[in-house]
Amino acid sequence: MDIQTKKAGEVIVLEIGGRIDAFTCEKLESELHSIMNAGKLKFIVNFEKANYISSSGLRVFLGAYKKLSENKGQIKFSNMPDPVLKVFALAGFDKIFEIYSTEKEALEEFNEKVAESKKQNYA
Amino acid sequence: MPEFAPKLGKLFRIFEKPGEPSFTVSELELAREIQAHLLPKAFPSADHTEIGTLYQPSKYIGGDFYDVIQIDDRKIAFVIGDVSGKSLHAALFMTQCLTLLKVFIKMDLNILKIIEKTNQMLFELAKTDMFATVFLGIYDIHYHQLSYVNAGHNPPLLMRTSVEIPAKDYHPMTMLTAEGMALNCITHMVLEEKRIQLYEGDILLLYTDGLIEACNEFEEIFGEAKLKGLVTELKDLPSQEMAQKILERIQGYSKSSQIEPDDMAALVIKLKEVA
Repeated sequence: MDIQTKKAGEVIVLEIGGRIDAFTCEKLESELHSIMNAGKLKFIVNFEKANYISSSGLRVFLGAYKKLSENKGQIKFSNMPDPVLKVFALAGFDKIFEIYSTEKEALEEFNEKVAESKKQNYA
Repeated sequence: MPEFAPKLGKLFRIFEKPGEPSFTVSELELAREIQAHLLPKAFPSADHTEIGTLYQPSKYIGGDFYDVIQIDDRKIAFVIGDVSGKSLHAALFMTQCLTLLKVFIKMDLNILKIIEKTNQMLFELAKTDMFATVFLGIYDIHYHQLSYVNAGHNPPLLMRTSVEIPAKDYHPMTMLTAEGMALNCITHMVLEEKRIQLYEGDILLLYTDGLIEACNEFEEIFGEAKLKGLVTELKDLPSQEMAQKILERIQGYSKSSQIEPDDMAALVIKLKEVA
């Protein structure tokens, strides 16, 4: 598994490639925690290059989701290939997480929420 | 355990290679003991069901569990589950999960309430990043009906083998799907209870994802289609022999794989002649 990280404004985008399983998820968890501990609260995880995820991988994202929710942060998911989406859907995680077809859509959703929040502040 | 043993355990990391999970010797042994104690040693209701089991933990620690519980003289519960993660925490979470399920099952609560109450208790007790997928079925031997809920688990297979089944109920193979989600994710679960009529000769296969996600040397998974084919091929064997053969065939399929296999667990349940 490999992880590429990039920034899109305030949003951290993680592009994950390969297998996310019991043996590779420690690295993923470590990376996520490191960035969260640095105070980042907005994440997009792009699965375009991922080909497999196990329940251990889902656990990492569930933990990140709950921790971010406590701190008013958010994590969104995008570009899931069918085998990965199927695992999320089977566990019911598609009812909890926001999953988008593309990274662009996920980013637009973050930007829309920022605009909405600014509008409310000015009202 | 001697007082100094936990401290000694922490000094020894048995896995130093990158990409492999790190455990201490004592944590691994403890987790394995916990799991070994959880699995049932005998099954009830041999007059109505013939049960075979398959259990193959992964190289390190297993996260799969199952049980068959007699609720009263007419209801039996079948449970199979899969806990996320491979650690001492996961083994303890498995204990919490299965114990809570068994308590609420034995209280003879409505099947949805069993899962909802287990979820509520886990939310109070367990680590936030742990979750478990569970399938729970309750078989009424008087009406020959199975009620079931699926909390995010692989849907079991139901194979009909009798030719005397009414046309409306006949299908050679079906999957027991129901809307649901894993335990310990959110407080208010989305769950659906379903019911299905069972007949003599029906074969239920409850299993965990390790069976269908076993890979060969080309990283091709075994998959649901092959598993269905295997159940069809082995249907005339006694339950325990069938379970054993399923394990052997999947292990044979994945023997040259470079990928470490996940845990595998299954219950093969055959319905006997019903009076």
